[in-house]
Amino acid sequence: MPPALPIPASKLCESCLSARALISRPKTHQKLCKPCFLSTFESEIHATIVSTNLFTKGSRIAIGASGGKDSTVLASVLKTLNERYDYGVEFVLLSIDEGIKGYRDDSLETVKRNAIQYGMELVIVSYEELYGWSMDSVVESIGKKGNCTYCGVFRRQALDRGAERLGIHHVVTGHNADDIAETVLMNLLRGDLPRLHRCTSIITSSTSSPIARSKPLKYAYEKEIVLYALHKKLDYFSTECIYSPEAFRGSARTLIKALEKVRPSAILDIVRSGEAFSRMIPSQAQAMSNCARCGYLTSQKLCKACTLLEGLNKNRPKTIVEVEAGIEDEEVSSSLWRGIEAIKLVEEGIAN
Amino acid sequence: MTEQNITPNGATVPTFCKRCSTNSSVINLRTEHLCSDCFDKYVRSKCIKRMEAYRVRYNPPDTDTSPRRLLLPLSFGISSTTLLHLLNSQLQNQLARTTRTGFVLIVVHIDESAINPTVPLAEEGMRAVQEWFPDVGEYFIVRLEGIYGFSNAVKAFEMGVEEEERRGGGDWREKLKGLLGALPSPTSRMDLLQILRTRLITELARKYACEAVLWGDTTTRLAEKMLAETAKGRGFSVPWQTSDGDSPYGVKFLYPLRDLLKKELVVYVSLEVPTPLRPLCFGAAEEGEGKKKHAAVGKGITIDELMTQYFEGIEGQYPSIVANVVRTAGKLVTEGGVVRIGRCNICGLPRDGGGGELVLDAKTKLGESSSGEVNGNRSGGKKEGGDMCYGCARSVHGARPYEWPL
Repeated sequence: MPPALPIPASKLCESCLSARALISRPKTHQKLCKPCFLSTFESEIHATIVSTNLFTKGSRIAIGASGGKDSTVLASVLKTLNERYDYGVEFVLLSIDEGIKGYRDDSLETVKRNAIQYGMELVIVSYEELYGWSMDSVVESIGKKGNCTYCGVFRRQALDRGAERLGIHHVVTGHNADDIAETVLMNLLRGDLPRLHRCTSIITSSTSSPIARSKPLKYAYEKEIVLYALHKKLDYFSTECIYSPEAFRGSARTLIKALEKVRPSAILDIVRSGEAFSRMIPSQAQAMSNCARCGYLTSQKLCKACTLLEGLNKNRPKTIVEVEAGIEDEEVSSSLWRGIEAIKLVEEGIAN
Repeated sequence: MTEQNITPNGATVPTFCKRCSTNSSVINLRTEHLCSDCFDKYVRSKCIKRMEAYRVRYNPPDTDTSPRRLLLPLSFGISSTTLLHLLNSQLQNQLARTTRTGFVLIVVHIDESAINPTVPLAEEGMRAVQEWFPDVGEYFIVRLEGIYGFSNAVKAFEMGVEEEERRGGGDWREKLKGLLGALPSPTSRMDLLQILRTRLITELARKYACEAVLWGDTTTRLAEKMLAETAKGRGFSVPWQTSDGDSPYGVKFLYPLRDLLKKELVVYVSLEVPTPLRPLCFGAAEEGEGKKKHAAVGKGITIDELMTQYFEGIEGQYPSIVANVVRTAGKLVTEGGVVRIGRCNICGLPRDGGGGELVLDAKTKLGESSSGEVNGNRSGGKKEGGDMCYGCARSVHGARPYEWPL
C-alpha cells in the first residue's frame, strides 16, 4: 500500500490539526474531523448540563423517547456522558403510544431497539389506556384538522403520568436550539408573554405539572443533531407523523432556517434574546388547583385533557384555539398560523 | 387611485368611503374603506395623539414659553418624510390657533455617501424639502463620519460640506470605511451602521439642545426591528429601541408613527392631497424596486432585510400580528432601569452580561477548552467581547483585526 499523502493544511481538522476535516459544523462553520465533531458536540451538551446543575447524583430521570432523531441522540449522548463523567444518574426511556397506525407503532419498535442498545428500562404509556381514545379514533371522530391540539394536550399529561408511575420527577426532552428559537419567535408574533417568559428555561418545574421538564439539547442545532446521529450510526425513525406532515410552525420555521443561512449563529442568538426576554417579563403566578375529574393540576375547574375528552365523548367535534398555560408550544395550532405559513419568504435560496 | 369593487355581473364600481359616504375610497384600512380626505384625517390623528406632550401650553406669564426643541432625523424615506409633513401641519395648526408653537424641529439628514455612493444627493433633497416646509425649524446635513468628531469631544460639529472639507474630514471618511470594511458580513455591517447612525443622531440631539428624537418608525418597522434585534442577540435592548420615553442616550425617543403601518404610508405619500409627498421621498425605492433588489442579493441579504421582507408579507394579510409584536415589545421591562450595569463600548447601551460568553462554543463558557481554537475566532481570543454587549460582540466576532471598539 502506498504511503498516505500528507493532508494539505487547509483540509486539516481545525481542532486536532492532524486528521482530515470531514465536517463543517453548521453552528460555526468550523471544519472538523469526525471524532472531533462528535466529542465537541458531546462536550457542549455536557457543558450545558454542568453549568445548569441539571442532574443530581443518584436520581432517576426519564428520557421522553419518540424514536425520532432528537430523542435518540439525547438518549445516546446522555448514556455516553453519564458513563464518561459519572453523573450517577439512572436513565429510563419513557415513550408515549398515541395510537397512530403506520407511524407510532413503527417508531416504537425503534425505541424498543434503543432500549436494548442503551441498556435502559423502557416504559410505554398509551393514550388508549389513559384516555380511552387512540389518536386514530380521535381523528376518525373529529377529522385531521386540529387533531394536534388533542395529541399535544394528551401527550403532556401522558408524560407526567408515565413519570409518576415510575416514581420519577424529572423528564428530559429532545427539544433543540432550533425548536426553542422558533418558539421564541412564535411567542413574539402571537404576543404570548407567559410563554415567552418560560420557553427558554432549561428546566421548567411549572406550576401546572408536578414533574420537572428539561431540555439538555437547548443549545444543540438540529443540523448537528442529524450529523451526530448519522456519524454515530444511531438507529432512529425519521418519518413525519401521518396526521401532521410539517403542519405547524411553518412560518417561524422558515424564518429560522433563512436566518440560519444568513448568519449561522442566529439560532443561538435568538435563544439568547429569549433568555433576556424571560428576565424582562414580570412573572404572573397563576392560581392552580386540581382537576375536578382526574386530579391533574389545572388553572381551570377541569384540566385541558378532560375538557377535550368531554367533547370527544359527547361525539361533538370541538375546535380549540386557546391552549391552557403550561402546555408546550409545539402543541398549539390555529388556522391563522397555517395561513401565515403560506406567506413565502420569497427570495431565491433563502427560503429553501 | 380609487378602489374598485367587482359586482356579480362583472362590472366595476368604485367603493365609497365608509366615513363620509360621498367620496370614493382610496384605501381599505384593515376593515374600513376610506377616501383620501378621511384617510388623511386618520393619519394625522394617529400622529397627533402621540405628540400630545408637545401641544402649545398656556403657562403663567413669567415662565419660559420658548418652544421645545425636537430632533427629526430625515432619511428621505417614506416614513420620515411623512412624519415631517405631519409635524409641519401640526405646527401650522398651532400657529393658526395660538400664534405660538409647542415645539420646533431640528431636521437632520445623515449623509452616508462615505459608505454608499448611491445615496441620494443630500443637499438637493434637503433644499427641496425645505422649500415645502420652510417654517418648521432648522435643517442640517451631517456626514456619518462626523461621529468621530464626538468621540474626540473636541471639535464643534457643524458639518456643512465646505467646513468639512476645510477641516480635512477625509481621514474620518477613510476611517469609517475601514471600520465597516473590517466587519465579517453584510449583517454585521448593517447592524453597526445602524448603531453609528443612532449614536450620531443622539449626540446631535444633545448638541442642538433637543429634548427628544422623533423617529419615523411605523408599526411595521418597529416589529421588524423587534424581530431583527432578537435574531441578532440584542433581545435585551429591545425596549430602548422601540419604546417612547427616556433612552439610555440621555435624550427621549418618540415614535409618533407607531400606530401606522408601512403599507398605509405607502398609500398616503402617493395621494395628491394634501401635499404630494412621493416626489420628496428621495431615499425610497420606486415601487417594486425594493423587492427586486432583495432578490438580487440572494445570500448577501442581511438579517434586517430578511425581516423587512417577512413583515411585508405579514402586514399585507395579518396586520394584527404586526401590532402584536410591537405590543409585546412594549410590555418588556428593563431591569433596574438604564443604569444597571456598564455600557457597551460599541452601541452605548447597558450591557447584557456582556459578550464574553458567546455561547457558540460551550467549552469557552466553561473555560475548559481543549481544542486550540475557540469560537473559530482568530483575532481576539477569549478577551473578545469584554466591553461589549452580546449583540455587538456577535457582530464584530470574526472581524479582521481592527481597533475595536471604535
